[in-house]
Amino acid sequence: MSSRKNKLTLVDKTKKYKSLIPFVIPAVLFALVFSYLPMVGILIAFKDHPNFLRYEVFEAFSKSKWTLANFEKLFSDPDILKYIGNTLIISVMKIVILFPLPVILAVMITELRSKKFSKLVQGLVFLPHFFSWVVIVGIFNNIFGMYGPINNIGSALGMDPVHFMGEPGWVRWLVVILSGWKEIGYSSIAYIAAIMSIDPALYEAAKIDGAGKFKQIWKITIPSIMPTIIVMLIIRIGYLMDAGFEQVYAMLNPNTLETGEIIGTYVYRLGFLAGSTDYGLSTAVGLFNGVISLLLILGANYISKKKTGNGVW
Amino acid sequence: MKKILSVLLLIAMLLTGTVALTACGNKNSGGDEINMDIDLSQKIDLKVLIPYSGKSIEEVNSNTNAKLIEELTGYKVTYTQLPASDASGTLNTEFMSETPYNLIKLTKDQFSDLVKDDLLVDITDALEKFAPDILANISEESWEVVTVDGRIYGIPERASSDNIENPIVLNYDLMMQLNLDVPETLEEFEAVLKAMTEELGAPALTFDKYTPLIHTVSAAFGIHSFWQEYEIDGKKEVRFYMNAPRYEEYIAYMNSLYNKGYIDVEVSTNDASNAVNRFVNGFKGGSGAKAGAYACSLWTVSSIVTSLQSNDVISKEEAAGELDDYLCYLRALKENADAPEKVYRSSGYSYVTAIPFYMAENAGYALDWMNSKIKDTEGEDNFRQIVLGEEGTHWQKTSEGGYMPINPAFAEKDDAHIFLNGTNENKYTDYWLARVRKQPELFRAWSELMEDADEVGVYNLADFTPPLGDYNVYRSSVEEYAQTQFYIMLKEGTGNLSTILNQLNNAKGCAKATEDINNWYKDSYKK
Repeated sequence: MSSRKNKLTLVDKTKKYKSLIPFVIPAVLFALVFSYLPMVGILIAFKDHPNFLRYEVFEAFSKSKWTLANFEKLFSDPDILKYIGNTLIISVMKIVILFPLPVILAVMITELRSKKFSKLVQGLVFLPHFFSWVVIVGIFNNIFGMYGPINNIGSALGMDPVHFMGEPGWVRWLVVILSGWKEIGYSSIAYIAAIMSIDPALYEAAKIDGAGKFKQIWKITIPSIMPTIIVMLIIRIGYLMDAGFEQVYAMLNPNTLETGEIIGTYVYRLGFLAGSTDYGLSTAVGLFNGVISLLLILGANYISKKKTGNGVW
Repeated sequence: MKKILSVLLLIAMLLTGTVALTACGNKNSGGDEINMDIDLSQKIDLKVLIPYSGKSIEEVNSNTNAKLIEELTGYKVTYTQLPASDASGTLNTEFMSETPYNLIKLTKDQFSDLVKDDLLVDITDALEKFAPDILANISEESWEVVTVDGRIYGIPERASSDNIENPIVLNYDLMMQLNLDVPETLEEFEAVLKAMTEELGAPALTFDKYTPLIHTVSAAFGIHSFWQEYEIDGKKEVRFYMNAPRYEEYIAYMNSLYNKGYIDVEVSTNDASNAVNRFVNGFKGGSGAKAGAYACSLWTVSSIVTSLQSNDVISKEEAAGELDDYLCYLRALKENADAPEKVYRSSGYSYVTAIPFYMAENAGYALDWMNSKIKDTEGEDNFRQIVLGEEGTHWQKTSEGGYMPINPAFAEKDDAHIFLNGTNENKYTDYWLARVRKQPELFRAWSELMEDADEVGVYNLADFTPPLGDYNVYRSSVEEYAQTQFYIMLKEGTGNLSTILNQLNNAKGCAKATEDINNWYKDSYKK
């Protein structure tokens, strides 16, 4: 599109790479059908209760009035800012505390000498990913309960028992701890794969030069998987506004709403508990979330490109 | 090669377009009128959508009760059920795709939503022609619940029995050891909790996370049900319980019990099984989670008995009888010994069966089928057969004329309720009691709680409302908010009550809902 000679125009590019085009068709179609076409639905956020059950989609749409009521409701709620805050705090805590752990785990697993043991460890740490949150929260409710092992150890050391699951000060930490317990193993897959594909010649050369294990990890493994780490981080930042609905919903109780309620659970409470057909409000929140996430992802990618030269695009 | 590719691409694009368009179109425009001239001797196959039954749909369709109904009515029926979670979401999709269900069994909330959106068939005129027995055996009061602007949109299914069913169950064994009398007033209750707490070494009172109103306690403050009439400055009006004149006192009392260490710290995270375990552990020695009093539902008694037996507190023989040495039931506390006793009595409509608008044409068959199920006369006792089964096989008469189940054959009838669409209100309560008689301790509890029920019982007015605009929109958010705030104030006291009430009445819509329910109460409620 640029007119400079060293840059190709869109037409030139199309001509040059035409043999590659058929390969992207399925992906483009997929995105069109499942991602772009449904975007028309965003209009529901600006409509006053269209009756989709009674009328055809277009008829229901044209019958209902345009409105900004959903956005007014969303932004006039004094609590919403607090819940956006909770969402961001929990998300940032998850990224800062949990993001490095799968990388470390992946390095540790790949450094294991016994292949059998390495496979066993991988299997065990993947396992929690496949449990549902309701089950996991049930287990941890007991572990952190008034009569559970944590409090038993605590009272043996002379501390007063704490109802961890019902303490506003604890809930965010528990969200991070449980999330880590469940997902670290599974998140490490991408890094393990990246480490496996590093050229072994690099390590041999390093050994000959007298580099120890830690030096090898620091100077070869980490730099080699850095692009993977960056991509994962940027993708992760895109989900900043989603602090894990399913997990938080299962963990929350009245006493921890103050510090634990996130946007996802709040909107669920607002709209869906009524079992009504009011999709407008949740669509409005979805749109708001989407816009913020897009900005975050663009920002993260920009910074990463500036600083490290790696980016998603 | 290039050509083939572009042709393929074009086809793919066209397909996408068609799929997108057909997904939007296809709403049925005809068939919205009931055909009154159908020939009922030429029966058609019916499709019925029911709420989640707890069983697989194959089990539902092959259930003995389903077979029995097919024999009795002559209609072949296929049942489909909604999923356990997000039932309303699935229900919406079924409507959007116009899945051909002749009948849909709905909760009252779902019914209200669907009526509001004009999705159900007006069956007022068809009832007389196709369902005379339904008309005769469902009360005027019940029809009110499904009537909007004078027209009827569904068949109401009244709760089996108006029970007093929210007691605090006490560990009577422990009370006898400590020489405690059954408490009647708030003060005596606190003394009992204090003594129990000291003996157990753990907070004496437990309940689960879904119990925002401890009916036994709130009764002493004049609060009995979620929505009831209060006299305020000489004026009578209906209010939600959080707006009751003495709600603050109720919270302050509960908060003081909590602060003194008599209430389980984990109530906000307890599920029912935790609470049962704690209560049963109170009968055993040792350390750990224990409680001596449990604010529960009458229906928990069965699991308490089972759990007492499996923990070897009672023997199998004892579990098969009455347990008056172990359990006692407290239905309402009083402010002082002379105050009259009043307590919440449940009622209402578990389900409403309705016909989706696009299936109006064959509504006659569906009504005829339901009508046939509800018939219960000397010659044709279909309803009794469905609910109770055969005399001598499933049940026998007791000396007082009640129905006594015969085990194990009666177990077949445990699932009969899944297949009901409206009940024969003249008979159902008597039949239903057979279920309570199945366990002697449950029957004892029920009988004790139900003593003078007509004098002491206070109903929840919301149990009798027809679909009411704002009330239906806000009810669940109001109740959800009230529940949340109870567990917060239980710990923190009433300091923020005015802010909380302000939030409840404005942001959560309680003021609007209250206005709606008051208008209805003044204009149409006739009880």
